[in-house]
Amino acid sequence: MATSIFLDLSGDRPAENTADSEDFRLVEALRGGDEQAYEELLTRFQQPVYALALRLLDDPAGASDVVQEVFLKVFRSIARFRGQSTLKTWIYRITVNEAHNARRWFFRHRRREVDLDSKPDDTRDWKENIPDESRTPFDQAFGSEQRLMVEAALEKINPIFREAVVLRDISDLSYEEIAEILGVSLGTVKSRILRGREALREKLAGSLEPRPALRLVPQNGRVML
Amino acid sequence: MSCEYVQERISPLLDQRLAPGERETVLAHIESCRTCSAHYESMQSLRAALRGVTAPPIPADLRQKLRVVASHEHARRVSRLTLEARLDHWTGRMRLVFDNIMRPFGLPAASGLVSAVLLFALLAPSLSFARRGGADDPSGVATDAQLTAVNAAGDGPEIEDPDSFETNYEAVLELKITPDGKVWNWSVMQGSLTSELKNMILFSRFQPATYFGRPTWGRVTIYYRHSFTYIVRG
Repeated sequence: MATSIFLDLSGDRPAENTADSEDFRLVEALRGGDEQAYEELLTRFQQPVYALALRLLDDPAGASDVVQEVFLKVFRSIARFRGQSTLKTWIYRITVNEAHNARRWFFRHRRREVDLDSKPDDTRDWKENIPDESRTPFDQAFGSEQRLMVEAALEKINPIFREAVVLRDISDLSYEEIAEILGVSLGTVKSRILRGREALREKLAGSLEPRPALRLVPQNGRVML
Repeated sequence: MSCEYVQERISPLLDQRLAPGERETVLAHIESCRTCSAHYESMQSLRAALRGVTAPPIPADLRQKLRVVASHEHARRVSRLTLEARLDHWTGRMRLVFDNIMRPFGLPAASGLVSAVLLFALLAPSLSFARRGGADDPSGVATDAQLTAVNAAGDGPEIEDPDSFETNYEAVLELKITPDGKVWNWSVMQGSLTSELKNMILFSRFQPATYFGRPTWGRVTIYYRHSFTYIVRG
């Protein structure tokens, strides 16, 4: 049996996982109390951190709480950032840890809570409001449906595998970055991604066929799928 | 090479995490095996679907809350940068704490004081103080009415030490003295009003009581004993 050798051959990601000069500049500005740096940090990271928290928790209110907690921790412990990882990896690691804590807390306390703020009109999930940039109504319908299915399947798989798949395929991080964020070995990352994808493939069996093309047949003017 | 072995490597293959030699072997197997080829295609579709998932929009209220958090943390950081900033910060905090403690008491206390002053100012003109017993007034702002002469000849009264007063008086009179030093009224508190006493009231002269140097109404109590002894209390 051949041994798998892990190499980063993609070329589209930097091989090094340490902070670059841009990270250090931002961190120094934060330590120096530069107001613009606080704004810049939010601009750079609030969207990806929220997206990651939401994928890990699937609870918009919980994700919002996690994101606030993450940035509070980032601002307060920025003095302890040594640059041994990139700023992004460091912040993502905090996000994953906070999401773990929130999930544990959720299962202990909030499962039985009823959201009194929800109105009948608000019952639609945020996923149903995702802006879609597909070009045609057909594309839009097909894309939205497929995304909804993927999102639904993601919720159903083991959270441990889910976070690895989310970090790899949605947050687009390298195996090394994921290993650092999750605090596990590269082999474990590979295994979790593999098992997560397999679980998703099983959940989505039959719905991941190649996208049908919309063809116009000029002879009889019928639309064929 | 088994299908199971190949299918386990499809995921790292898609991520370009296989060594070049192994990659070629796995790809060759996929080309020749329909099952593994279908597996590969479905995994590719899954990966494409996952990458096509768009980022959920961050809620506007969360954006606002994060700005508030950043603002608080910035203020906190700035307040700890230098010793002077720390001192300023703590001084401000202490002032705020003091302010918060005193604010609930400040308004009631001030309004109570103002109300008391206003009330006193309103009532003071209507207050009149009848002067009695000036001897025990240490301030000297008020003096008692005094009997200066007990007859037409101008003889003064005999004053006894109040501690040695006896009780066997023939009569005790209380006279009300006008600011002019005249007798306005009298009342007999003990004994009876004899003609001798009437003469005494008629011919006696009085120095009126004063209040802040101005003559005012006063009272004089006269203890009368035979042998013309007048003991006077203001």
